[in-house]
Amino acid sequence: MCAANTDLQQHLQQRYSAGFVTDIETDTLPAGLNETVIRQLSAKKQEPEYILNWRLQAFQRWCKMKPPAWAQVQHTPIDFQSIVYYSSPKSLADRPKSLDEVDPELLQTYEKLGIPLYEQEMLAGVAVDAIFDSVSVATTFKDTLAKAGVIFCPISEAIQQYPELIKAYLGRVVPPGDNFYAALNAAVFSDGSFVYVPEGVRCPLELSTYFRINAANTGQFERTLIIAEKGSYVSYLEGCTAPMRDENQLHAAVVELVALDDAEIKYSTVQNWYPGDEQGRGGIYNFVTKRGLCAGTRSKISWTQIETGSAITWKYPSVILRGDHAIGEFFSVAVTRNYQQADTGTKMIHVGKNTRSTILSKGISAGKSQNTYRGLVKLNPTATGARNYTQCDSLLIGDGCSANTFPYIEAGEYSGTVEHEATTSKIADEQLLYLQQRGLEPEQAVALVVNGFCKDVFEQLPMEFAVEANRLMQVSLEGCVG
Amino acid sequence: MSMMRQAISEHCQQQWDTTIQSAAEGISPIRQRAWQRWQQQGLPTRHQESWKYTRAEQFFTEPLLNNALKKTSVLPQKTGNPVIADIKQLSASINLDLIHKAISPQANSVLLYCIDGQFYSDQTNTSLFGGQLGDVSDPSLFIPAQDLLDEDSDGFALLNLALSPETLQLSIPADSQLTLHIAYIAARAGWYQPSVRIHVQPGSQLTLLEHTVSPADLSVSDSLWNSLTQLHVAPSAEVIYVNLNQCAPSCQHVHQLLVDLDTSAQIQSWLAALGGNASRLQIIQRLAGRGSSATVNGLLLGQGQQHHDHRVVFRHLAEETKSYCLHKGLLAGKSKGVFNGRILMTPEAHQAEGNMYSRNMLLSQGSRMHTKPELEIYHDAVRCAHGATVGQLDRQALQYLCSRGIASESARQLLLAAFIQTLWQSLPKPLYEWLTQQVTPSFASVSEQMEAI
Amino acid sequence: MLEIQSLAVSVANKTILEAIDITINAGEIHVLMGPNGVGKSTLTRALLGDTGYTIESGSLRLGGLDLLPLSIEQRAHQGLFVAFQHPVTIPGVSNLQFYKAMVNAHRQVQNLEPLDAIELLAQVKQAAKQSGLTEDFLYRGLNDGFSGGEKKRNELLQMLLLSPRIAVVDEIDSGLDVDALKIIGQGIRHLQQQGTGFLLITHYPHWLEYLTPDQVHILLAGRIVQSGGVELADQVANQGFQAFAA
Repeated sequence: MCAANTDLQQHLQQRYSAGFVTDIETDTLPAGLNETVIRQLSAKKQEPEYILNWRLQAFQRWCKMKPPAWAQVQHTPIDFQSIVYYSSPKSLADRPKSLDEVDPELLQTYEKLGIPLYEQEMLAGVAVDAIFDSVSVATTFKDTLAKAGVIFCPISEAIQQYPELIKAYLGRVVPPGDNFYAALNAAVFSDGSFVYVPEGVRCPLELSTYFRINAANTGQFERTLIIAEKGSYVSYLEGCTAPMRDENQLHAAVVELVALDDAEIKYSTVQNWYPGDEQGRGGIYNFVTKRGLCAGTRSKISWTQIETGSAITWKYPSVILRGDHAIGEFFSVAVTRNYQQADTGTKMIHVGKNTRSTILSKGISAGKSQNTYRGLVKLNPTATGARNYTQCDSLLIGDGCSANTFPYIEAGEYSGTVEHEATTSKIADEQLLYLQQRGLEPEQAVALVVNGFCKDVFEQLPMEFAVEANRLMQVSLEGCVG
Repeated sequence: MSMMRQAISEHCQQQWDTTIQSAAEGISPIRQRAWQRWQQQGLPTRHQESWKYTRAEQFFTEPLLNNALKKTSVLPQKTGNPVIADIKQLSASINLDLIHKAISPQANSVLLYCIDGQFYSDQTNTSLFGGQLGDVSDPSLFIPAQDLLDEDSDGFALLNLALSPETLQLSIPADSQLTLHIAYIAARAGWYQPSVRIHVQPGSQLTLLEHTVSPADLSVSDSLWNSLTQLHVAPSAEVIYVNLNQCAPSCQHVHQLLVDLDTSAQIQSWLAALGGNASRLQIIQRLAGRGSSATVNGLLLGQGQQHHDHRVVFRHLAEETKSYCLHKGLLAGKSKGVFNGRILMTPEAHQAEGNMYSRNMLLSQGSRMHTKPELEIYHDAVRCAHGATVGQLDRQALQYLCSRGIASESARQLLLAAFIQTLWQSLPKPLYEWLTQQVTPSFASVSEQMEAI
Repeated sequence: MLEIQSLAVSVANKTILEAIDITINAGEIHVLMGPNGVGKSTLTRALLGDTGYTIESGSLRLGGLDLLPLSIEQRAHQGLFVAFQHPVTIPGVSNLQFYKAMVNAHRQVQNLEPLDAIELLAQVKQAAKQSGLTEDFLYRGLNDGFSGGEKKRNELLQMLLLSPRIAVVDEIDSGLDVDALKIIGQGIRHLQQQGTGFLLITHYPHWLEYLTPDQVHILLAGRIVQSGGVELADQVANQGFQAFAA
């Protein structure tokens, strides 16, 4: 089940440090998607009936939908019946009560990925909800958070323990009928994070989650729900990594954020999926629906993302600005190289009065990749006094790549103001020459210029991520200078 | 298919059948092919990106569909150009003087009328359309319109290519200058699909005004213009193009301008959509020659329930090509404006430059503007930028003017005019005056429909 | 230290320089003068290692090491510094960030640890003072919003940080006022005393009152037509370059 094609292995570069496979027995369902599989999945997770019904309804809707075809993205059609929808390591049949009880090989896996749980505890006080394939392995620091009243647990646990919250919020921001992949996710979501921050509480720790796809042909269907009550604050970091694979793997996650009056949610992603080899084979398909609802007055939601992996990226973290004086922000750096394709952007929907949105998007394309920004700024007729500012910049490295910008501005309200600017450029030869004369290797020079290009976005990241982001950019652009 | 689409489809089929019957020498292969593609493709839907914000069905109103189809009558032609008739053949019921007044042509321009789809010229200029102007020297110089359209082809273009009876073809002699004013007038309700093709020879200069106008005395019930103009601009030739839409309120207007630019060829265009009920103007510019350039200055002015849609495309296919687009939308009443812009830089567009700006003002509750400037870049050594803004009239500026004693009504009109000013700046003076004269009256009614601020 | 022997350089198949000979020892200041268009910037580009320029014949050695097969950054690592006539701007990369990258790139080649942040800042501030630049520029983008004079001072600052073996200074006096010239002159003298050899390329003799060159070379039509002492500069000042055309 874990055997990889040896011919292909010879082609793959060692640069991708997370490229290995953990040899652990997993408990999987047969491939294919039908009602039986969903019932089995729900049974394995011992879910209450209300969730099973929700899944089945979503599945019915999915059967009537077609995959979207409008993105500037080409891929071989995905055979949904050949994917395994559930996989969990056997040793977790009974949940561990502390780190000591977790399978040592699993913990080693996480050390290899660079997230030693113990060190994390000391350095940054970050609680880690490490997900190994479809079941959460360990959730640390529950106690510290519990004292503050913050709930941070796997969503499978929240379904059991906090059904009122789940019933109130799950699927409110991204209903199953929203799009093809949202429906799929609602039917077969495996696990994910659930966060609840009570009224007036500033979450004492930066919350974080690491993902991993392990077993062959396992699509990952994470579902995350974050609720910030009145006057609360939470910062959530999402970082992903995956091993080398020779068949494409599907990642169709859904993230829902709800911010009530005067609440703020900061959601940061540093993505490091396997991008496919230099010939464009293998690699993760990343189709994600992320949406935040600024439900309350003066609520605020910020999305910050650094995307450097996946063969195909299709994601538009969005914010619905329903509450008056709500603020939505989107900061993004998307890097593509070799044969990667990214079609990413955001949607800011202004509904309430005097709402504001800011979009800062930096796209960097190299190799023969395609990098597309697609953004929507919509002012509903009710959105009096709305303000938007958008800046999209593209940097092209080499002459085989492409950069596209497709902004959609729909102004239906006459007292709003929308400003959008976009530029395209390349790294000037003179700039590289200058830096080389000062002793920088060509790749260091490129990294420095690119860093300057992305600076505005990096400044939005929580500090731990800013360091990782920098390293990630450098690794991503290695070999791109010609 | 919806009922509406069904009805439209049937209406088009009837047109096609009528066309086949009345075509003496049969239908050319190009037209056959266009018709076949129409049958496959049909009218654009919202799923087609370039028609995302405009309902194609709205151009075919019920009265139009119910209108009995007319057989295309054959008029005795003037010698020279087979497509242009003598103005004396025009029905006596049409008052030429009033038309002339509405058009207000420039002193040195050559005037061509397109009335109900048929081209006419008046006596004094007939010689021009014989001889050299009428002779399109080498038809192979023109890229077939269908190929020029490429992925931007839509149902309306296909209908024109299939159903348009005859294309007016002109050739502007090398190193010469000409100002040509074509006035499109609907005297009777109906569906008109004129087609014009002009070859602008090397080193020559053409000023082309395409003016859709509705003289006061002609109270016309629903008509639809679906026209197509193709220009081939030869090396070092220059074109100044103006498209002014002053249709009657019951008129729908769809127009395609296809431009093919050779080495160092240049085109500067000015667009103003003021009239009609719904309008759609698509300009495709193919910068195929090294060093060629294209600029577009466009305006859409919406009032009442109008819907104006402008689409401007620049395809940079060669080195050192330059494009620039400044487009402004002013929407009052409950009107809706759409701007689709596209800059495409192919891998051959070394050292090319493209800039596109969409600046819009919403002036009242219920008005809407959708703007979508796009960049598609496949070459790194290019310079590209675009910007889009939507806002309102500057309240502080208004207050300032009022504080200097200017009545608020006049102040508003002043600011509206100022907003548009930058669009006309680079027009040659006579044209500038002409265009300002035509556009300014619209400010008064727009201003009335503005919200008080 | 820097030995240019019979160097011939062409660009786009056109020969610009023929048989250039210059030897610069540690701590010497050589001045290369010539009217516009004779090939001064070509020489700079050839020394830099710009691959757009072809070395037709001759040799180029620094401390005995052949520079011709080396890339631009490799020559920099050997201690060659080129101060540009028109330094580039790299917005988004702060000056301080850039100095750090530059200094540490050199240190890495010498198998030294990256410089401590506090130590680096101290050195930068000292160099800034000597170059007449105020501290607020440190966090601005590289040369972003700098006047021509400020850009040249930034070049000097970098020289002070690196203490190169040889510095080629391309028309550094262009666009500078008297005060700036004085500071640049002082900076160059300071480095000279520490052993840096200079090749100052210029077509304007008057600013040399701040420096005493060891040798002056006159470049005309791709060749060095005369080499001598500072009196050559005076001749250019009084009679122009025609005096040397023969």
